[in-house]
Amino acid sequence: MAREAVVFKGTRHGITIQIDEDAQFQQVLTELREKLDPARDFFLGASVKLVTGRRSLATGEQEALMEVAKEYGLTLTEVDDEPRELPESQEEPSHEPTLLVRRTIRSGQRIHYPGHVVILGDVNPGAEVVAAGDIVILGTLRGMAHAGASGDENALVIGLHLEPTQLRIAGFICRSPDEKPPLRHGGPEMACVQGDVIVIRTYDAGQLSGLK
Amino acid sequence: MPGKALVITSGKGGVGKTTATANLGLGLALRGHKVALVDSDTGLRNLDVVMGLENRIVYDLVDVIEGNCRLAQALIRDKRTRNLVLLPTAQSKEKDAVKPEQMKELVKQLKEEFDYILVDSPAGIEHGFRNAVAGADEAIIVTTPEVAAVRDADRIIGLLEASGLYDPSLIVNRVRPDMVRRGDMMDITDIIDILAIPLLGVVPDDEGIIVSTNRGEPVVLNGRCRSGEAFGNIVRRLEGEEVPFLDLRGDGIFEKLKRLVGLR
Ligand SMILES: Nc1ncnc2c1ncn2[C@@H]1O[C@H](COP(=O)(O)OP(=O)(O)OP(=O)(O)O)[C@@H](O)[C@H]1O
Ligand SMILES: [Mg+2]
Repeated sequence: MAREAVVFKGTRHGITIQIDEDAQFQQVLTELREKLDPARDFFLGASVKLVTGRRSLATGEQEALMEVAKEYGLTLTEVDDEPRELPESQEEPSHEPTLLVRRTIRSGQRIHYPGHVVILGDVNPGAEVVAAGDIVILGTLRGMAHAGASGDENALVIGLHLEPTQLRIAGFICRSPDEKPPLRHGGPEMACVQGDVIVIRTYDAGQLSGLK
Repeated sequence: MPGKALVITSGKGGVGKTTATANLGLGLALRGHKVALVDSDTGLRNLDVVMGLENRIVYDLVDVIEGNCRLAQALIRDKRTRNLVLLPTAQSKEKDAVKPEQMKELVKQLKEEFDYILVDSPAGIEHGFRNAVAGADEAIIVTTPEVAAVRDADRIIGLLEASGLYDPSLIVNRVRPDMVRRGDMMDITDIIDILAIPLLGVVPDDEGIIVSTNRGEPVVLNGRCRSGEAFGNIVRRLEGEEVPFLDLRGDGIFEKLKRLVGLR
């Protein structure tokens, strides 16, 4: 197959879309659509940086890209057409990228991210958050959260209330009890792997360092 | 000043969108506003039946879009008030006979003449839904106090946001106070907790609605029945009035709700 005309990258600065310098513009548009289509909800509301390398966009081309982006609910924040290497390659593992989402994730919506995810809102039943790192929810988790999705058993899920339909950390899965649990009022909660089960307990910042 | 277009939508079918559209439309018209109702459920026409106007249909929405008639020719005037018209949908055409841009244009035209345009949306999240929301300025979500209906409402709220319609308001329909009291039905506070949008009204489950639907006489005409009163209150809230929620349980829970959801 020919070189990809459009490449998505998650960097510590958020998501970028990189456009091949030599590809036909029509090909770029087609490929962008093809890649966004199966991930409609993933990008909803995200803002994305466009990297065009040495390619310079003709008049109308930038508008056309913005138009496609808007169709899929994402905003192109910045067009970067300086010839520049992405900083991604120099990243140390301790500086994983973090995605901040300032809204409630509703039924049918998905957030998948190759780093940590912070949500300022709830995660409703039928919604899904999957992160390679930790997940922090400043709201109630009622849907599905999967932290450490690429295998990190030390990953955490932290939320103001954890009432997940299902919660996963790395390869461990737990689901909500079939009976509605009594309301806890103990402040923020945290889920982590202990032994070979996931436990949910009151969040205690002091314990965090000892965990990892 | 151009009018305001509201889409009435739900995700799940059969929760009361058409009933709500008919009652709110008639209620607003009876209070002196010029109202146009648009049935966008192509292929499953029934707003005209609920309104008792079925026998007057000559042209429909698809005729207007295809240029078979002028918009004014397709608008059916209500038999109770001159303030209300209905644009029926096509019974026999394909579902995709109408495109969102065409719908948008049509609603824009209606806004020039009417104060309120209420668009009755079909169930689901496909083509018909996208048409229904195309020209809307605001959305009203209808749900019943059932887990599946609330889940679908949540999905719809997300989709509305994606198409630029923020802050919809909520009508919870078919509430049965006795069942809520026994804990057999979702509590309104639980629903608001999940959906986190302002509550516009709570409508009790009421046999009167079935009778009135069959007669083509929306319940809002009858202020003596509970559901009619509930729709009447919603109409006044749409006008910006502050109306306390009907106390369906008899223990003041709906008063508490008002504070909870911060209704203006
Ligand atoms: N508050 C109520 N009490 C009793 N019956 C009701 C109430 N609201 C609606 N119904 C009944 O429920 C049925 C479905 O209502 P309606 O047609 O308004 O729903 P809808 O959401 O428009 O459905 P669809 O998705 O098929 O368009 C009708 O038979 C109606 O009479
Ligand atoms: Mg209907």
